[in-house]
Amino acid sequence: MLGLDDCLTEVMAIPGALDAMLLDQTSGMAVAASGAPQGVDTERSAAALTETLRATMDGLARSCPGDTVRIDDMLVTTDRGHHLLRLMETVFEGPLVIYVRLDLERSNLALARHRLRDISGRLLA
Amino acid sequence: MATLDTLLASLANDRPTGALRVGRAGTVFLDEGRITYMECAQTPGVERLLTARGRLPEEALRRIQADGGCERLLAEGPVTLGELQFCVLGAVLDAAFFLLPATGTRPKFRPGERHWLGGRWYFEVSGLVRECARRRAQLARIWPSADVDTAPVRPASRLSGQGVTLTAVQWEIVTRADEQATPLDLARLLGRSGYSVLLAVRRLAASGLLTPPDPTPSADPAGAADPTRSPGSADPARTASPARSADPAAPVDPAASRAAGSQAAGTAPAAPPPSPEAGGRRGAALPKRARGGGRRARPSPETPDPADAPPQPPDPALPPGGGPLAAPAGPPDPPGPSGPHGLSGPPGPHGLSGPHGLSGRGRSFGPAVTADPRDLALLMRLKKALEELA
Repeated sequence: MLGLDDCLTEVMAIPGALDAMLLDQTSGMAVAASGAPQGVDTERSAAALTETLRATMDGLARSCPGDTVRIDDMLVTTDRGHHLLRLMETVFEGPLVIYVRLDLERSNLALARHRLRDISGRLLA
Repeated sequence: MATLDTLLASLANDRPTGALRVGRAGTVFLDEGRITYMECAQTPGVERLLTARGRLPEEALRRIQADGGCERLLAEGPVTLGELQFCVLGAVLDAAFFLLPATGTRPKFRPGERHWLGGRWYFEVSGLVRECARRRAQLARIWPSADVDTAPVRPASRLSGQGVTLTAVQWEIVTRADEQATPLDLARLLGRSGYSVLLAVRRLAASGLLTPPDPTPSADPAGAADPTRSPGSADPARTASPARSADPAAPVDPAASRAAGSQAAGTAPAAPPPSPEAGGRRGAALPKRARGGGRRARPSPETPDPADAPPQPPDPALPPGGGPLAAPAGPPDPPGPSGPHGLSGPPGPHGLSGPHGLSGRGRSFGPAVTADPRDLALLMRLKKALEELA
């Protein structure tokens, strides 16, 4: 069975992973984090990422009325890399989120998404 | 009297094992001085969270509590290790949020007592304090008035706009709100953490979805224990709330309605709470802590027993985040990466509870005890100074 910190270790083992974080979407808290890059405050980036997710959820809820929106994962590609977020529903509190930043050149998105799905399945199943 | 977080930090030195009862407010469980679990009468604990969603029947939980504890809970498999860890972290932070600011009662320590989950995960006092301060600032940023935290939740009977988007927690609150239940009542009812309900309620208030509270200040006992209530934020907000319902323009957008609210209130204090709190916290933390330490040391010549000294008036007013232990908040600290969660992995060298599969990690997890070496050094100096005085 995976604990939260093993989960982070496995996420960092994904090819091309630069840094990773586990977030609590409800409170905007960083539950666990791998070493953040220079000049990045883990706490702030956790809060900012959860706000991003919230805005996305709100936006989707408005753009598809009638649907109950449930985001599985979210991918943002910038000129420097990929940012991949995977949401996991838990029984207790609103979703636990895995965030991983991937190198643009060295990563394989399909593989990364597949591995994240696998990890989240083992963490919570 | 020392605040609970200073007390816990100083207890870490003596490495006691047992339960620290904080009056009727709650209990802190310690294992060799490290916090393993915290429970608070006001918030749902792990047991409630586990049973609330029907994942585990209460009877089965009682059997597990009586015999087998954590190992059996994981072996029987209603929850996975990751889920349980997340659940415990959430419950402890939630309890800390309401328990750490509690003052007035003198905590009683009962040696030897353990929580049924056992000492599987450890929490640093400084991490807990920092996260609680962040949570408090976040609440203030969403909606500056703490009144809604303790008043009964009364959803507005009409929307001033045409539609709203609710989160899952908000939906549960709206369906259960009976105009009597306060947010913490609802939290226990729903099996949600107290903090998530406070957040949702403040967002509802910011969107103008709550009936403004009566102008008469409610004299409920919970108000006294409410950590987020501060004299500065209560007043302007009460003037802001009525303005909110009269403002049909921006019912949904929190930012816009907040702006409108503070304008209507015509006072600066409505908006600022987050900034002084957030800004001042980091900068002022270190000197404040030194002063706090001095205060604790000084009373011994003046009063017969330093432990029985009356509470310092400025202390309760301080957000606990501004308290003595917020000092190591700076990101460049060595334990920085482990900072935001306050949860540390099992102690490598001390390795008490052997057979769990949790050893050998900790890239991101700091040392297990109240990690900051400066903390310990400061406490040692204090101790020496006290001994010299005596």
